[in-house]
Amino acid sequence: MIIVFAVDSDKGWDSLISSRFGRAQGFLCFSEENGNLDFHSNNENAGAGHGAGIQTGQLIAKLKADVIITGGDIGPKAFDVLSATNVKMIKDVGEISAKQAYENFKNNMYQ
Amino acid sequence: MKIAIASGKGGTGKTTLSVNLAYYLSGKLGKKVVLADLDVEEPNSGLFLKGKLLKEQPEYRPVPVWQPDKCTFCGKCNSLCNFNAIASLPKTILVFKELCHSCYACSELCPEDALPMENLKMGISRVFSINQNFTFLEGVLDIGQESAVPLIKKIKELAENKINKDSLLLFDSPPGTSCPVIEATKDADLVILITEPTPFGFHDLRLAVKTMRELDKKILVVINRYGIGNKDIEKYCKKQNIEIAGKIPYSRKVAELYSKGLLLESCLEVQKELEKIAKQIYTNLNIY
Amino acid sequence: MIISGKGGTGKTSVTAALAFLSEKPLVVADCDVDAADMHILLHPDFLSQEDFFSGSFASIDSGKCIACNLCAQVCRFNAINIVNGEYMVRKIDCEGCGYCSRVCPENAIEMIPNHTGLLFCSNTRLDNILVHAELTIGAENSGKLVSRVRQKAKAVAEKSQINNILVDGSPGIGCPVIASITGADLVVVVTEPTVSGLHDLERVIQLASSMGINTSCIINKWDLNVEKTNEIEKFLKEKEISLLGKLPYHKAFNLALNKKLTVGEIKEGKEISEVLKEIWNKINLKTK
Repeated sequence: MIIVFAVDSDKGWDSLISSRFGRAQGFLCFSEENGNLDFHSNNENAGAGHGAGIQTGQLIAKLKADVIITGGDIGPKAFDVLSATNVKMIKDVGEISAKQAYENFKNNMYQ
Repeated sequence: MKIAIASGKGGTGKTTLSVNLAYYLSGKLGKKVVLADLDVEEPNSGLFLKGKLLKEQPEYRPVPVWQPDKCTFCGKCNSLCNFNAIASLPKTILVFKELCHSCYACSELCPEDALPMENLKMGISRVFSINQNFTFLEGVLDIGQESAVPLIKKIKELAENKINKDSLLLFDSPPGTSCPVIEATKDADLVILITEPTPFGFHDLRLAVKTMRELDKKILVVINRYGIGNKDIEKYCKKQNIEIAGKIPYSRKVAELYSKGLLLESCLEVQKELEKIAKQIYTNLNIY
Repeated sequence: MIISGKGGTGKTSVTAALAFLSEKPLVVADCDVDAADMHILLHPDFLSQEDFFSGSFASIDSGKCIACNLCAQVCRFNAINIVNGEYMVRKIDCEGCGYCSRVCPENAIEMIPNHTGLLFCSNTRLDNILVHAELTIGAENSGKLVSRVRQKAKAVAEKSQINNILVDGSPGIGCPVIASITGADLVVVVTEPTVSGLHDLERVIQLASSMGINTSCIINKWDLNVEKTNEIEKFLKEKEISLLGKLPYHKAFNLALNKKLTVGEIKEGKEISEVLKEIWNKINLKTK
């Protein structure tokens, strides 16, 4: 399974989850298969005038995410894009570390 | 001849001036007048005019519609769209119509013709006959439509088809200095800026003057609610060499008539100012 | 928390007056970037400023142009014309879609970013933080700048650990308003008892409820047309929208405005201030 976290800076597992989705500065992508945790910048989309959520949603699809975790809400357009890719959306988790968010997720705390 | 009535901020009396001026020109002066309310987000002129509805029709703009059977998911459409209106996903293409500017790039450059343009309703237009000399048009933007400009263009086109060389076309423009205003004023022969003598009004007038100067427009200023504030606007206009065509006095009676949706025919002091404004318009447009 | 409503209803004056009354620290955001007037009352220090770019426009390199006419052919906005024998882009007509630059066989068309405004973050004389913007004359779409103002306000609030953001919203129902009320806890519509006021109120409420945002209402100048005020109250009841308070038609607003102060700061505004205090308390209860 691939789990993606919205973050504003890359500090590995200590990165704080961003309260934004479309305008998050980047995404941490964790692959449970090989244990890699990679950072993908979202700079270009975060600065878009319009449709940031749409382009960001597309990036999540490209990462082949199964789960996306963000600290705040997901806008309606981003929601449409993510729904079309069947990724599980976990939102409003608050400003916690990626590590904490992953643990919570594994403990089935996000339904 | 086209005259745009505009203001920096809303609520300065743009609609009041538009409807009363149009009514005055068509009635007292017997001129053929077409008034188009281009404030399609908040069309208010029609609330003051009682006339016969001649035509009401939906207005459309073209947007791309995805054809799954033709698509090869090459992703070109996504990279072609400067407005981020298309998401290209592994199994589907999503078009966000509200972000689309109808430029046709995705549609015509798609190698598979998988994005033909189809009409999407953006609002409605209405044409009224107020009296034999006075035609009124308005557009109403559907809720949730992000851009007013396409509908403004449509209403302008409809209005332009209704005039001949002797008639006057008045545009009640949206407030502000951004794109809808530019669309409403960019091909006017004369722009009348209406303002009020308050620090807000003064500040916004200066912005509006700058905008219209940039567009190379002839400008007249009308001061509404004259008497409530100071003389800053008059001093400024003198310095900038801008004619003040009229000063609509501040009175509770005017405010009350407005609140009831009535024209200001019965206010003699207002009619006198409309006469002055009309004269200035004629001079500036070389009518007679 | 957002204050919305059509221009001229007293939206900015009410917002500024509430900012003065607030005992807690506030971030005030002026999202009415088309007619950004809040700074006139709050006297900000323009502490920091950022350039704001949005979209782009096409520019043709006449040295490379071979006059094949392809660009003019594909442009749906009639922005490309021949002036003195040269292909030129009329900037105010260009939507920035980039279609021309993609089809030009000589790569003679460049898309240039549009400088659309300045974003300021200031301390005000009321010990608040004000986030405000200035739109470049005739700039393209203010909705984008509005989002930036809102986001900046949120970021500043988080940084200074301030819980409350008071937003002076944009008028209308198009892109800028949608941008300004997105993510709000409460939208307060300032309306007036006029035909246009009620008309606008209906549209804003429809928009806010379609976005799932709570709405309340303030009727300004309620005694101007008691009948209309009753009609508005009835309408609010039907829609189950709470009326936070009614403000009378009072000269204090104008007196304060001409002194560039908020209404709570002048002696004539005492009576109004009491009503505003009540309103402010109700707002605080609703946004807890």
